[in-house]
Amino acid sequence: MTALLGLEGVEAAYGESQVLWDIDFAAETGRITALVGSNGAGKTSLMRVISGLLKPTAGRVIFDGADIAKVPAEARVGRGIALVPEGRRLFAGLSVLENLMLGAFSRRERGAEADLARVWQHFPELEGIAGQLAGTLSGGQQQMCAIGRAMMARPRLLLVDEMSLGLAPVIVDRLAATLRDLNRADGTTIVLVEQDVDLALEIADRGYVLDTGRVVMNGAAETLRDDPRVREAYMGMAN
Amino acid sequence: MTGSRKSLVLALAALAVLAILPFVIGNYWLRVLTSVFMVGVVAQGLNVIVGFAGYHAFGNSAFFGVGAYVVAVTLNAGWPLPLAFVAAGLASAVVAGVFGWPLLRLRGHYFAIASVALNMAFIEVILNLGGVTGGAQGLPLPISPMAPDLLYRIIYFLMLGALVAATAVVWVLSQSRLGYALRALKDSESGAEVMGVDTVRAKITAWAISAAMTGTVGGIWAYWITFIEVSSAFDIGISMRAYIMMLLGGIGTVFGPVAGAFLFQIVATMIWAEFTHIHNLLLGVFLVAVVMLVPNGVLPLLSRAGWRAASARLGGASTRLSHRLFAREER
Repeated sequence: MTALLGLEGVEAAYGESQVLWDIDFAAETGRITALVGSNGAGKTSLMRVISGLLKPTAGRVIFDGADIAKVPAEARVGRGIALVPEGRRLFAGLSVLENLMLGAFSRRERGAEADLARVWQHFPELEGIAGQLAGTLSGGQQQMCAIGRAMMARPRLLLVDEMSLGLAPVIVDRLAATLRDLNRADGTTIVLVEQDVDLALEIADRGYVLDTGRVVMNGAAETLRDDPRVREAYMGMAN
Repeated sequence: MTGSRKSLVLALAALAVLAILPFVIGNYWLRVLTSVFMVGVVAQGLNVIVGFAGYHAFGNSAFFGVGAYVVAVTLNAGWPLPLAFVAAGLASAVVAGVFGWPLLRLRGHYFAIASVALNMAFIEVILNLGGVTGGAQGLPLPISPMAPDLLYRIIYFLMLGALVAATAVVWVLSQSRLGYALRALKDSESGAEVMGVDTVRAKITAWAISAAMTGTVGGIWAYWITFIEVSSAFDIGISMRAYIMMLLGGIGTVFGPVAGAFLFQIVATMIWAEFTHIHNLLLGVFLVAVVMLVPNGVLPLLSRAGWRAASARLGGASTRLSHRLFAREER
């Protein structure tokens, strides 16, 4: 299996404060890869590096065979990378439909209406509130809108940052089902960042464990799920 | 009749009245209305960069001054008047583009201060280019051979035309992909970037449009008063008044700055006429009251169901726009 996304020796910093050290990471084409770790492990920073919002200070970011480390965030969308950011980050002053359409902003091809129909299919409740301002939605509706917005970009690589944060389990199950469907039906490669290690490793094919800015473990999700060291050493969930 | 058609009919009726007015009112009110149109254009310019993009360009008066000096210098060099006005708008847009590249990387109050500093820097440049600009002594413009009454009416119609054109530009912007991108980056710049919006280009374009509007009326103003000097051409008070008008009418709306310009000038004139000695105090109290009671401006308040409905309509219009834009691409 080839990797759609590969990180080689990536390091990143916010000013003087380094947050990522020598990260090697791969997301195989058509697979779901989970990135787990405790709070402050560097998961969101790594997502920012992949999406182009944080420039790496060292290393290479390989997407579809090309080094995109210096490609700006807005150009990465055109290459097929879409982000569902932590905290949803919808445009609060725009309507649900406008948020969704912004997902297709960089697209110059046919089919935005068809993609919209797919979003309604996955999240029918959004269609009824299409004209409502996104800032007035509930947390669950916001996350649906954020995932729908990313779907509108018709991504080859979907980055999902802390999808389950603050949401009811029933909503999380629906969103997880949507991700699985996007992966299986469309072949979308997904990188899923989660603090909920059970959820992440249940959905994913492979997993990476991050601790204080370093990859400390990786392997098949099944293996990691059953590995007590993951919980004991990094999740603080040992029984 | 739909809301947008009603607005159009109202706007056309208002235009018809404004076209007749110069032939029935005296010179005083002619000057007042000309000033309203002028600052209304500056307010529309601010509306583009502040209302749509969220960048508080308090120093937009710099472009007013640039436009004024470009018209003064080019007319003295023998350029035809229409070309001088076009040069004023273009030069201001170029200045915004060049300085926008570094300045628009700043955000919030840092950008606001930087834009004021740009205005101050231009004052120094004009003062030190005395050979071209007249320096501290100012610069006279060629006197028009027209009779004063005719000239003032022409200035009136030039300013009115500029206001109509600026409002039309804002309307087109509100319906365009650029307007859509600006509204997104106003909410979240990094959020817009990961949607594929080239935020740097969008912001620079917005400021250049804003500057072109401001610079053009700066040029018309210079032709109107026939003598310019730095303190009046680069008077930051113009930006401040325009900013208040924009807030008063409704920030980020198409007709808000126009309504704000009229309301502000009418209220200011009435207060001045009745309470000459304390008119500034009373005007200040009025503005504080408006900002506290109607923070989104009076235009949205006047809509039947208030701001929420106005936003929903704006959202609806944008929604229709979204469909149109993307449908157009699909064809």
